[in-house]
Parts: sequence; structure tokens; C-alpha cells
Amino acid sequence: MIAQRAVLRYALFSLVIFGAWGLSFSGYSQTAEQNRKMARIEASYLTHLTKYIQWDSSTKKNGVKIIIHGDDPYKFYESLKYAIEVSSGGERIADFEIMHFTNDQTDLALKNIKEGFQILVLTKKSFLTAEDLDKIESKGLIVVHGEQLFDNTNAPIAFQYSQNRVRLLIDRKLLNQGGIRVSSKLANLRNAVSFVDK
Amino acid sequence: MLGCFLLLPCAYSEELSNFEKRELSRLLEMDWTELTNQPVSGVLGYDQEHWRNPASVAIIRSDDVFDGGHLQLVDSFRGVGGMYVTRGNAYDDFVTMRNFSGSATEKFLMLVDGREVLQPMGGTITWGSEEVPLAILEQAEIIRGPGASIWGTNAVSGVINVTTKPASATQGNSLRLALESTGTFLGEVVHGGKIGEGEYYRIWVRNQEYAESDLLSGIPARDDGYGRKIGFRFDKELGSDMEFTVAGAYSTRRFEHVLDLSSRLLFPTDANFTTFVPVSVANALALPGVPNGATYSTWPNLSGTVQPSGVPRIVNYEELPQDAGHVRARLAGVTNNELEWAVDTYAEKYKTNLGHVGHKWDRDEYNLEFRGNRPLGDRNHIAFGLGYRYMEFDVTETTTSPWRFSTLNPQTGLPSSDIPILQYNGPDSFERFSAFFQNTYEVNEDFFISFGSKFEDGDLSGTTVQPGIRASYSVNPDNLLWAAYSRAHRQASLVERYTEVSYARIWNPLAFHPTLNPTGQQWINQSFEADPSLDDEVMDAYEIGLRSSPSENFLWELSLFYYDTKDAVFSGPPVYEALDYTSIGGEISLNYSASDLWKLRGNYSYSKGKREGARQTDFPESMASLLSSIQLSDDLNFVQNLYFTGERILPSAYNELPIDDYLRLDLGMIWHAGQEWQFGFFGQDLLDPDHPEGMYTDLDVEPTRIKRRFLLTVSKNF
Repeated sequence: MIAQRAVLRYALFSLVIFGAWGLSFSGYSQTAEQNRKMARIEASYLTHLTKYIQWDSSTKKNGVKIIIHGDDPYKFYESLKYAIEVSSGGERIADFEIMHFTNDQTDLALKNIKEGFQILVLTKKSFLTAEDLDKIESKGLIVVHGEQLFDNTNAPIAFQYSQNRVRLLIDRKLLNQGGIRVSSKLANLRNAVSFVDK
Repeated sequence: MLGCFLLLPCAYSEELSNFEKRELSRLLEMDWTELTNQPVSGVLGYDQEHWRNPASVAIIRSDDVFDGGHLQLVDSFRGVGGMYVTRGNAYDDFVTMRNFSGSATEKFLMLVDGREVLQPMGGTITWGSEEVPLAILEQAEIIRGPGASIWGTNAVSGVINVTTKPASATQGNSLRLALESTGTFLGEVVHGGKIGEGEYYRIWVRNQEYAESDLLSGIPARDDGYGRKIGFRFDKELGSDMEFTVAGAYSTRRFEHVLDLSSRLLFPTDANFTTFVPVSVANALALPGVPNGATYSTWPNLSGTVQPSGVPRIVNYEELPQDAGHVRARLAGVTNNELEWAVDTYAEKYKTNLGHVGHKWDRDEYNLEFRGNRPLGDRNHIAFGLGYRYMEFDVTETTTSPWRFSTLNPQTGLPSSDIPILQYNGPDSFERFSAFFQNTYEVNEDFFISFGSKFEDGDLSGTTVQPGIRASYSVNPDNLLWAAYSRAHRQASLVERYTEVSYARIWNPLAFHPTLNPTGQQWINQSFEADPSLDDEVMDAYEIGLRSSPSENFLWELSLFYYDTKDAVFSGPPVYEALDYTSIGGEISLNYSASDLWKLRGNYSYSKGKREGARQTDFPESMASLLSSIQLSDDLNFVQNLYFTGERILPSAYNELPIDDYLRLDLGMIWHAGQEWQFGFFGQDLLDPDHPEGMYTDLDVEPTRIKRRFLLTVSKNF
């Protein structure tokens, strides 16, 4: 009996260890459920961020234009629209113009970007490349996904997925260069935001 | 719709469902720090988004505890459907779920930051020892229904998973003070700071001074005392993909506890020794052959009578010290291809002396666990783990002073003045080895199936396989159906399995004769043997539920369950028996925002238990609660909480006590003075001057009066 149990324990132990080892080499992607949750968390971050930005008088008068580019199967656009509406008790939506363009509508998106924006967000599935972003002359806040695009572009903000959490990377120098004035209170959020110098 | 259900991907609505809107509203209430701590994936355990969970899940956060005017986390469970919470005396709380566990034994699993807190000796939870300051509480996740496929043995009628915030989320100083009109006082202080880049710490102190209650008969309950606790946590980021945590706590409690002796010395009323009365009653009736008091001179004096039986009341109070400390460490990370992993370990020492029954034990426990999860393809998310536990006991029995008189021990055939009430005869160390695997498969965006099993091999529970399968299906964006089957095991406690209990002594009034009546004119010890053959309780649980959000302001849920348990262990009186048990019932709950200023939560639960076909009466079949919060102004909230508990019977060997149904009304005003300070004033149990709730049957002599009371609380946020 004792020998049987020892064998069982050994078998289970081996199964888990080798299973974990094997899995570390296999391919992966995130499930749709995870992606939708990430989109909701990102929308919440961005909604909070808009409160930390000191908009100039022209923007205050004409409204904040947010452009979202890229296919959006995980409903980031809808989430952001709803989040901004809720966070302002249904009134603030009037100050925001939120536009979404799929990858098929890239030309139209670039036209709108050229006309000016306050915030440009690239979804995870956006086709826009680092080269495309470098060509953008309009001043505004660019938000991308992942460290790679963040490191290789002038985007001052990125969403980073790490350790099962969504985190925000911010390059304050680039932020200031982009003409975005951010409340000094943001600096107090060092525990929650990763400030980096690219 | 059929295409969606069968393996074909279907177009998910581009509109946000009401479930998603509710979830977004919840996220928006979080500050940045809280957002950074939101897990994206929750397959590890059941920490998925509430509305997608194929299970009955309730989440309690620190605001729920403060706004409810609850001193302790356990008090807030009263607002969760299917949960039955009672207070025995000032420091004893009992929690049971879904009409399954009898009076005192908590047949569910409770974890605090991954540490199992169920006491294996008695199968109970010392709630007061496990409390943490409210400011560091992340949440208590209450999963009704078995969760054995991940959590393993003892996750039978449910799982309570308490987690605390990371140190980075508790920076600065926090304070909470509470004073009850009964005299009970609570103070909590937390301080958190930063040591270096990515290095955070916190330290905390908690002190609760318990005021003395009155027993149902009006006699002082002698239950005043204190529970004090200190703790710490240190978190360090080891690069971008790994973090390390070490945390610990030490708690000490000092109380007295009673042992009811009213019906422990028995006198036979027939020649065949089949019926008995307490010897105090025999004395009062002047029955022939009643023993001389000198034969039990150490026995305490009478002190009134026990109601409703009218038996003369005899009690013995002894010290009940409890000291516990633990240290835990966690190393967690994620690999480049999204394998999220964690290695957890903890060591715990628990010392207690149940002076009233002369049972003292030290427990040393060591636990090591590995868990991992990761996506596999774009439809699967697997979770797996491996664990090892080692426990060591040092048990000491003493004969308490009332029992130190000459009594024949039938096992030795000799008289003795040293027969302890509890005699532990089990092993002094136990090992447990476990592994689990679970996969969540997204058939399509509407239909999820989770299946897996836990495998365990331990000295207590033998080798077990505990499988489970759960499925959820979005009928449409605003309605979710779920169903589950699980098989769960609960191991008998060490007392149930290995401890001989000397519960009474019988006087033999017949004349002594060396051969015809060798036990004549003597006290004879009565005991029942523990039963090492008590097998695991094995439960097959079937559950089905509907979760619906007809508007973003309204969510309602229906959960139905049927539990079929083999070898369910029920303690006393007077023996431990393994019996077949079924429990059937359901809960309906609602969450409604009537306006931006008025929020309502409510539930109704019904459950019926049958033990070997006979109706179980120690759990109220109907319970309900309605919690309401009205925001009177920007900084003022008015809360109204109503709780209904159906009738039940407290079992006893000689003094069954019916507990009438009762309605509890709490009213409170909360003032938010700026961002940091909150003041709360609550009136609790306002409808009745007092009522009884529960007690340790066969230990306590009677329940205490839970009185109408008022509570003032002050808290300062970080």
C-alpha cells in the first residue's frame, strides 16, 4: 500500500513538472474572455488619465477628440465610450468626441489624425506601424500596446500586459514634448504607473 | 444561435451587455492602484469576473463591511444567500452553508491569502484569530458549492477565499476604531511604506476587547476577553516579470470557556440501566440509592436551572488561551509565453488549551505549493498545481478538577481519579500530497466549459480523485445559464476520528458483589470510542443557475443545488456517526440601483436537509436579507439592513432548545469627512431587546443574549 502511494505521488509529481516544462515551450495566445477584460481595464485607465490631463482652452471649448484605430473585437471603443459617460454622470460625454476606425478604414483614420486629435489609441489589432506613427505631425497623446511599439515610437504611453495585470507605461519627457500638460498628481501614482525614459 | 452553441465561432454583440456595463462601472470605482492589481485571468481558482462564473459567488469588500456596521468580516457573511451565521458568545461565531453541516462544524474550506485556516483537530474555524484590519482586506470571495477540483479536500459545501491587498496598495497610515454600546472595542492601525524601487512593506496591529455578554437566563456569560494580532508584509518586484512576498502574523486570544456539567453525572431510573436522570434530579426526587455527595466531592455546586428542561445547572469554567503565528512566502512570475506561476509556502504554529475539556495541543504545519496557469491556443486556459503539506501535533490531556473523583474505568477494570474527557489516540504527524489540473475551454464566445480534477493522497483522507465540471452559456448578452457537477471529499476531524470522548459517568446503585455485581456502588465512566474507520465524507453535488441583468442597474441570480453525501459525520450526542445526508435548496439574489443615490441588495434562500431520510432541524430552512444604502448628500449615507432567519432547534443530549425565527434591523449613518476620514453610527438589532442565536452544543450550557446595541466607528483611509 505504502509503495503504491509512493508510486502515485511520484507519477503525479512527474506529470506536473514535465507538463509545466512542456507548456513553457508551446505556443500561446490569450482567450477572448481575457482580451475583453483587458479592454475594459484599459478603458478605465484611459478614463482616469483624461482627468489628469490639463486641457488647453481651445480643447476645453471644442471638446476632446479621441481616435481609436484598429479592429476591435474586444469592444475597447464601446467600453471607453461607456466609461467616460459613466465617470461624468452622463454629462461629460458632450465634451468628448470618440471615433473608431477599423483597419479597413485606415485611410479615413489617417485623414482624421492629420486634422488633429487629443488622444490616439491603437488597439492590439491595429495595423499602424512605428513608421506610420513617426509620420504623424499632429500633436496629441498617442497610446499604444506593448513595450515593442512603445520603445520604437514617439508614443508616450503604452498599455503593458505583465504578470496577469494590465499596467501603464509613461514616458514623461515625451509627454511634455508632445505638449500634453499632465497634473503633477500623476507623479504621486508611482506605485501604479511605470515611469520610463526611452 | 444554434451555430453559436455548437463549436462555430459566433459574432459577439458589439454593444456592451448589461453585465459588461456593470463590470466597467465597478472598475471605474477603483483608483489606479487598485486597477493595477486587477487580475486579467482568473482560471487559477475561481477569480473570474463575477458574472461569467459558472458558480454561486458573492464578493465582500472592505466597504461592505464598514457600510454594514460590521466589526468583523464574519459578520458581513450574514448578507450572503445560503450562509447561516450565528454568534454563540462574545468571541464564538459559527458559519454554515446550505443546510449541510450541523451546528458548529464548518464543512467548507476557508483560505486567507492561500493559507488553509480550518482547524483539523475539531473541524472548526477560529474566526477571531483570522481577522485582518479592514484597511488591508482586498476581498472575501464566497463560493457556495463544492470547489474540490481546484481547492481539494474540505472544499465541500463551499470555499471562502480571503485575500489581502499588496503592500504597495496600503501606503501611508490607516486607522479604524469602533466602540459598541456593549463595551466591546476594536482598534486597528496599519502603516505602509516604501523601502526602495519596487520594494514595499506594511505593518499592522489589531486589538479587539470583548465585553461580557449575558446568557439567555440572565446570568453573566463570563465571555469577556481579548483578541490581539500583529502582522507584516513585504513585497519586492524582482524584475518586470517576477515578484516576491513574505508576510506573517501572530495572534493571541484569552478567554474563558464553559463546560456544561448539568447532565454528566447520571443515575439510572430502571434496573436495566436504559434510562437515566442527572444525579442532581435524582437527589431532588430522593430516589433510592442516590450516591452520597462525598463520592463526587470535586463536582461544582448547583447554580440555578437550565431552561427549558429545568435541570439543575452545573458548570465549570476554565481558561481558553489560543496563540497562533505563521510566516508565508510567495514567489510568482510569468514567463515570456504567458505561463503564470507561483510557489507558495507557509509555516504555522498553533497552540491552544481547551481548559474546559482538558485538551491542549500544539500544531506545527508546513505547506509548499506550486500553481501555474496559461492560455493554450486561443480557446483553452489551463491551470495546474502541486502541493505538499506536513502537520505535526503534540496533544496533552488533563483531567479537569470536577472529574477528579474515583470512577471505574471499564477499559482497565480499575477505579481511577484521572480519566480525561478527551483522549487522543491518533498519529502525531500527517502528510498530504496533492495535484490538480483544470482546463477552461471556450467553445465559442458564449459557451465555456471548465473541467478538471484534484488528486490527493494523504494520511487522513487516503487517495482520492475529486473531479468537477462546470459550464456557462450566454443565452443572450444579458442572460447567463450555468450548471455544475462536482465530487468533493471532507476528511473527518481528528477528534471525530481518533479521540475517545468520556462524556458522562453513571452511578451503579446496586450493592457491590465481587462476581455478581463488581461495579456496584461505584461511578462508571461512559465514553465513546473515536472511529478510525470514519471514511471521508463523499459528496456528489449538482448545481444549476441563471444570472440575468435586464438592465445595467439590475442584476438577479437564481442558484439551485442538490447535495448527496455518503458518510457525512455528525458529532454527538453522544457518538460520531457516519450517515447519508441530502440537502436541496436554492438562493435568489438581486442587486439593484434604484437611482444613482439608492442601491439595494437582497437575497432569499431556502434549503432542506435530510439525515437518513429524517428532516434536519438545526439549520433554518428559510433566510433572507435586504441591504439598502441611500446617499443623502455628497458625504452622507443612510444604510438600512434587514435580516430574516427562520426557526431552528439547537440539538442537545438533554436540553433541546428551539430558536424562534427572528428579524434583525440595522440602521446606520455614514459621514465621509473629506477623502480620508469616515464616521459611522449604527443601531443594530433594533427590533428586539435581545434574542439567542447559537452555541456550542454539549459544551455551552445556554446561548447568550444578542442584544440591541449601538456602534460608533471611525476610520482613516490611507
